[in-house]
Amino acid sequence: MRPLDETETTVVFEKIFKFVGNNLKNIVENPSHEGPESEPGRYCFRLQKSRVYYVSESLVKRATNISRKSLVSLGTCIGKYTHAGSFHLTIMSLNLLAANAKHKVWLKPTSEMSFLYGNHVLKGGLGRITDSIVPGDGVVVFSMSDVPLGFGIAAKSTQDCRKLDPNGIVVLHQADIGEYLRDEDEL
Amino acid sequence: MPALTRNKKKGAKLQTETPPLNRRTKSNTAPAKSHKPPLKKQRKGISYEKPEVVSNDDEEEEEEVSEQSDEELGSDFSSEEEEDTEPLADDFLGGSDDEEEEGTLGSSDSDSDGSDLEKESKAIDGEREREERDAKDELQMNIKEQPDEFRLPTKKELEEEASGPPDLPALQTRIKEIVRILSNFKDLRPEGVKRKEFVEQLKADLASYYGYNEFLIGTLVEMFPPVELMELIEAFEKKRPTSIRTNTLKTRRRDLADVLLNRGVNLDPLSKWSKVGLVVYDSQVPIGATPEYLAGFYMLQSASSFLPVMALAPRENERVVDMAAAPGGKTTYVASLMKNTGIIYANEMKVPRLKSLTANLHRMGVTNTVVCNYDGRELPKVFGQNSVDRVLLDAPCSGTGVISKDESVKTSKSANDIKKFADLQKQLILAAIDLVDAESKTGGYIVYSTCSIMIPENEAVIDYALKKRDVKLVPCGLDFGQAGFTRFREHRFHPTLEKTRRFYPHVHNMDGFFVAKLKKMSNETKASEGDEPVETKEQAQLSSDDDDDDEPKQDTKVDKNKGRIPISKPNNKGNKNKNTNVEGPRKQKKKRSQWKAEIAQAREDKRKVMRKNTKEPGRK
Repeated sequence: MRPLDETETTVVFEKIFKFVGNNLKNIVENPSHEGPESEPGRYCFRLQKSRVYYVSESLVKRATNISRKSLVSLGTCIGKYTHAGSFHLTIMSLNLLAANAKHKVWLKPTSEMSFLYGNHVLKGGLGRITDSIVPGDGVVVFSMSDVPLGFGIAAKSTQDCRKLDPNGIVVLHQADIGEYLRDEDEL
Repeated sequence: MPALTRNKKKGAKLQTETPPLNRRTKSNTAPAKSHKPPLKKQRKGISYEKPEVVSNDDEEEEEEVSEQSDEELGSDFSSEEEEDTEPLADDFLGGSDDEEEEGTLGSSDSDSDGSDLEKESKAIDGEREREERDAKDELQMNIKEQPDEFRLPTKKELEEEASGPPDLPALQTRIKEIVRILSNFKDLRPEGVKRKEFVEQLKADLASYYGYNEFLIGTLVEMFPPVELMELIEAFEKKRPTSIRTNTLKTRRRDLADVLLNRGVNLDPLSKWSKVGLVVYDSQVPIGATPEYLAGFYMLQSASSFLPVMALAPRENERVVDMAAAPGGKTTYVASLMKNTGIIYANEMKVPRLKSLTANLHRMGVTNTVVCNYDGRELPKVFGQNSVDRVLLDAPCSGTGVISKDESVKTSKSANDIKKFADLQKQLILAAIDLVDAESKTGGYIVYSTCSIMIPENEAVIDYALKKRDVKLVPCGLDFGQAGFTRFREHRFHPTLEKTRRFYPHVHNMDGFFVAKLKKMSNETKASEGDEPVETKEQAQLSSDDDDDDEPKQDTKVDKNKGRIPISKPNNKGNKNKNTNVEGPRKQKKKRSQWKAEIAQAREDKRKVMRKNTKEPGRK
């Protein structure tokens, strides 16, 4: 386990910024209640076995005596580095992203299952959408009852979405909670 | 074999064979008066002039009369009186009898109705009485014969049985018989047969009927009386109801229940003792794949797995270790009780199971957990001794309590397996005790649980821990559930073992489970300080003062320990054992604390003297 170095930190923050925008500040400075002390500590990012974790500092302190081979997970895993060296956010970061998301999309009940199978979000399945979405923005996908289902990249801006035909892709799927069942091994 | 013939006759309704038994059995049986329209024509010959006869034993007489009518269709059709309905099948059979005996009567009927009818009625009465008598005798015979008839099969019969495929119904009746006899052995035992033989036969039958191996069925027979044993085994054959646990980090039980009901799941709150459990009766959607499940609102977990966590009762901002955490049901429950504060170390030895553990933790939104991959016995070296507040040890076990989930346990566990598990569990529990800090302000508890009902894995392990470490049993906080065994066959356990809890499928409708809660009294191994972790410094001083006074005498140390114990809680037996084991290191440790106490005492004395000195010169 080691802290992220400069390049890694910038890459990770960029990815998160796409989804949360200025709320990134919130994420980094969130007071954390984990750890046995009663005063809140802070969160930090750590890298372990090419996975990036968002952990409270007190947890980090106490996990230092666990050997590198045996440490499996700390706090919340938010993403991993591939062999090629690029960073991807995984579904396990959903809770963090959903709480701070700037761009949101709500799905109709009928198309929830389709998204959970890994398909993209089509115009016909769109219930609500926040304004001012630019193509290439990170979007968090919710169900109509505000349950976070996953996230993806916006394919069209909000204005264009209104003009789309019902089969047009609105959000390109990146991760969804169905992966907990489908891709358990790859998490 | 009267019983068999009865069945045969019912089956062979349309045969016209007439052994004399036929009539008897028919009179005894009270068949539903089935109406068979085609045969009604034949019945027309029966007259209404025999109301008495008809009312008493309708079937019989109508049978007999109708048989006559069968014989002489011509005369019968002349008298067109209808009759009450009756089972025509019986008619045929009864009729054949009547044919033989009353053929002459029948023929005379056609000539003159009056006198012949009277004769007929008398004959019928007589017949009826005879039949009733015979029937009663038969019944009596049957009742008497059954208990007498039952005897253990001889070796020859056993060999015959063994050679062919098992005759399941016969086995089942034999099992029921033996259980009945064993449950009231004094009264029902046949002459000259020992109880042991019955028990052996029962074991063999149960093993072949339900598919257990000899070892397992033998242990179960030793643990339970026969009637309860049958209930237990039957309960193992069926599955326990599916239950789920609400994730209080994300939702409330009421809201979750509403959402799931909308999806078409039929559920109810689990029971009074749980505020987060729900039991699922049936569901239109797969309960393990709803969007709510994937979003982490609930966890599929059996009811018995709630218990060790409820016994552990972790508080916020504590350090907790879960030594065998996968797949993470209990760990996530602990985290939700702690509201994501404090820190949980979730340890799992087997690598393939780590993935499901991490996935579940992330799915349920748990952020205060560190997952590591060690053998549980190494944990005290990794985390340091006396470093955490609570430990949950859901030990790997033989799984004999969850046979309803996994039938292979019936045949795969042997005495050797149980012994290996017991050894592993003993090592793990000692490691767990070493991890806990007895001086923790809010904790100092270890919860040990298994999903097994075997005594060597449960009570024996706790007893071992009581002897080897300074811990004592405390009530689990689960008021339902049976108390653990304090003695079993030749074993004698510590009396406080009645505070442990056992759960059975046939009593509580959950998987077989065992839970025990230990409190660590002091951080010394094999010591018998008996200090409570929450003791103040004063009390510690007092105790060490006591030691101070009685330092030279070893025997009185024991007494002093006993004397101190009322302040803390008693653990006399354990103390005695530990005292005799090790004197040296304890002495040294005591000396250190004694020195401190001595110094403090000396200071106090000086102060007193100073005060006296200042007072004497008459200041105040």
